Amino acid sequence: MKIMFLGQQGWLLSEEETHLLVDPILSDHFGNSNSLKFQIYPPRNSINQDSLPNISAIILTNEHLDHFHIPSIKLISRSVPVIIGRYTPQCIIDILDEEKFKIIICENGESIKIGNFEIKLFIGNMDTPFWERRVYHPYITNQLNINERVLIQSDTLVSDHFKNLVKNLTEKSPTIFISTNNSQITEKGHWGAFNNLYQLNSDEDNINIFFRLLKSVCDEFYKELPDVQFVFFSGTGYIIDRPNSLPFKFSNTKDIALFANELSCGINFIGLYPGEIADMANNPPLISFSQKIKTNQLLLEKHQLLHLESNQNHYYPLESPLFGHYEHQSDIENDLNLVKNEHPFLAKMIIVSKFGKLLLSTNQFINGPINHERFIIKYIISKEHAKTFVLDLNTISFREIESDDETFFKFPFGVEVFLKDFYELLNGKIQIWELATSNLRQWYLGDFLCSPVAFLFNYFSEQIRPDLAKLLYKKHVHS
Amino acid sequence: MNYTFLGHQSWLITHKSTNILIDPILNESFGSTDKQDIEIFPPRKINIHKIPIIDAIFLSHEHFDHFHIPSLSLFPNTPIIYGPLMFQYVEDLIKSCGLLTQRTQFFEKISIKDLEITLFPPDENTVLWESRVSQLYITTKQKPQESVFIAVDALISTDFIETVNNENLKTPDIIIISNNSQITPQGVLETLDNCRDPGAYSKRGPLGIRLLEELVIDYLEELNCKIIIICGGGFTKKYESAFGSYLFSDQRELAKIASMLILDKKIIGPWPGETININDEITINSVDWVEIDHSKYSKLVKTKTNFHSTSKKNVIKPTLEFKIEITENIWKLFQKELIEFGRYFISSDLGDNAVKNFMHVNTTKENYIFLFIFKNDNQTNLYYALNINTSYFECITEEKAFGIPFGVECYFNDFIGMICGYLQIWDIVGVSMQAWYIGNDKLMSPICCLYNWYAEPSRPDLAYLNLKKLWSRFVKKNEECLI
Repeated sequence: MKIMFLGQQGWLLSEEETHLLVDPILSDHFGNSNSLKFQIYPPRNSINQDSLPNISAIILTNEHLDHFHIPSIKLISRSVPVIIGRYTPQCIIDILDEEKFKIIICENGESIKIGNFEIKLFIGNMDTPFWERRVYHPYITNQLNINERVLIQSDTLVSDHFKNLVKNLTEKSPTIFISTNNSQITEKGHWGAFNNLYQLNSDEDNINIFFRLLKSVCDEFYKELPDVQFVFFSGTGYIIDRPNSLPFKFSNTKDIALFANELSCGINFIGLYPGEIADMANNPPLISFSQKIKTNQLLLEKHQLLHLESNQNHYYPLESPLFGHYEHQSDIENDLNLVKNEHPFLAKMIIVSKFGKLLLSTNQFINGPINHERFIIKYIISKEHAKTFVLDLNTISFREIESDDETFFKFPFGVEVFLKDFYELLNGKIQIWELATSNLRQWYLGDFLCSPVAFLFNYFSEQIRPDLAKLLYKKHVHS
Repeated sequence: MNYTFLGHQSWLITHKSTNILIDPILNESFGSTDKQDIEIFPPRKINIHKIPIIDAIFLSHEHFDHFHIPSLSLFPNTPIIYGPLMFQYVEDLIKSCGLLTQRTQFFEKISIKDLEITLFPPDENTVLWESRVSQLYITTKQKPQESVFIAVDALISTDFIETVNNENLKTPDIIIISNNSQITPQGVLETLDNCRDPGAYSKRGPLGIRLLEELVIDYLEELNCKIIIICGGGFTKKYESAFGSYLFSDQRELAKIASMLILDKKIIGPWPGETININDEITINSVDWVEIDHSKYSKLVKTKTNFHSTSKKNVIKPTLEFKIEITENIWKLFQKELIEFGRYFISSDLGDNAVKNFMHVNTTKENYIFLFIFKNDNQTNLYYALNINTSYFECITEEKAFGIPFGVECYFNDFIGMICGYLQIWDIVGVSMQAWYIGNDKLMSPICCLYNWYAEPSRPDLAYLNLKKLWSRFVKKNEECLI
């Protein structure tokens, strides 16, 4: 079979006339709003339908925007089935239905035959954060060459269920593994979703980080999947489209493959750029370049130079809202009202969450014991004007307080975001992940999985807020 | 110090001329409905006129078996002291009754004449519905210093244990712990039992041994106090099957047996009215203003002994005595509550674990993980099932209601009553509600989700609504505060 990397977590698997698209993002970027584009990285041109062979089926591993890209799927003929797992959130099925796609809903491990491939979707490992709960890892086997069996990890870990099936010989071990690198390690001075304003210059989390990354993307599978001979890399393949953006550290798949190969035996690690094709008929696989899908080498080199020149200690604060500045007071009132309407439910969901547990058990701070006000949200309206709300743990409600520069030291937990951007989040114009990785700041004590952003990832997920997902998808309908 | 037990978890602690009350419930019964039908056990009467002058009252947390307005109202000149995480509505309610309040921080010494009291937050792994408990450390000011730690309904404060381990405080002489097991006899389900598990009905085995192990050995692993006082579980509820008192709830009996088995500690289970003193040796006397109702006690014991049920089916009866008219607004509220509870359930640890399991084992065509069976008084039921792919509840038919792995059955009128503030979840459970779930762990009961979502932790507003109505006769009109 031939395996083409499309960028980020998109793949084209081909065996003779059968072509499968997995999590395709065909444009050169993704993102829900025009104000914030996530460019595929390494950068490549947009892929139109002419650049692709006749697609036999599309596989979607999960509902997140860097896997489920409606504009891309809409480029494909409606006669092409979209294969999804049974527990993918309903809002995805609904929009595909509305767009008249043929949907094949798979049970866990159910066999689907598409041309020369057999496809099985397995729900991922349960030991992942809540927002990855509905991720499937597809298992695709080549019916014309039974030694070509591909397991695509996607945003989960290999499930214990699948490992057991391999162990008790119910399933053959994959021979090809597409490993996910979701590390998204930002350069110093650049913001990452789980970054903490309290730890801006801390190197604590960065100890041995590349080594740990290498281990995690190369080590996940080898014991339980004994036949794996070839490993490809997926993920951390985007860059925020902003003047000062730098690619994530250690995100170059060719570098990762190089190190992995140096330190391994019996397994061939292959790092592909978007548009590169691995022909598995040869051993070692022959790497060729697509005529129509090309990595933009010039842009790649430019970024590499930028990287060397950048002042790595510069911290980029929140500069301006993604959705423009306010012109009228009435707009500010309007947006504030929507936000305030959200507060009651937000407060309740916080208190019952891991984040809430952390809030309740943080009884001491810089000056000794603290009272019941431990978390604030600062909605920035303009350079001079902000509205700050504190979560009152004794009434389970948000209350407005004076905005000042001391909040950072008074309250051990906080979030800073532009009012306009948060409003548009509630209005279904942007998703929390996009906002958190680009235009939101937080500070907190303790583990990132109990942080305000981790909470918001759950709270605003498609699983919990399909109503917001539906609003987001609206703009793609009949367009 | 003299420790006078007043019933359930109420204490009068006296030293020299200092008298403090802890969580006083001085009536014979309590509850959050007008029925007030949760009765203190062993049953006793307190002659309130003979209570000494009280210098301070400490309120450990907001639950109605600790926070009792009628009792507090007997002391209009005594400050009622509580910690930083006591809910605002409790403070507002107390103030509106014209009583004195004092909010304090954790870890700070409060001086009340001859005594010093410090509040500690509970261990962070305490369940959410007990997470507002303040645990009390009380010491005498002068030497020879005597100290007691009152753990109330939560896991022992790690901050406290650390402080003791760092030798900033000496290990307390006495620890007061609560036995809240509420073990029902065979044939009667406990609050968190699985109503579809036949094993839950045929209660058998050394439950008392397990209880003692959890209570006296595991719970106290990190704090080596030599004297343990067991209180708590001191009430009876009006179950459909009248079985008397809970098993292993007579703390006096329990302590007697425990003392014979655990020889390196002194274990005491006082009766209401008994005063414990540990000066040279442990003495127990009684105050004359607390009178045990012996005939009622004997009746309850007899009922318990004679109670015999082979029932494999639990019967729940409604709690609310009047029917609520379902107006359009109330129906809208009901729909809103379902939406919010659905979203909470899916994202909760319990719900997420349920979903994880469901995705592997579900063989039905439906995606329903949780079912509400709302009983109507005319024998019909309303079925609402939670779809895991939409996180919304759907109204379904009885046929589709089979095989849903988690669920709660209760009376529709009670549920509406709860979301409107006529009663609290605590009144409904046990007697008027039952649940089923997968697994053996009681903390997997979806009733825990109802505790988290509808009890005080997330809904102090509902608790306030309820108590404001209930205790309106204690509210001084011109002092009423609004949240």
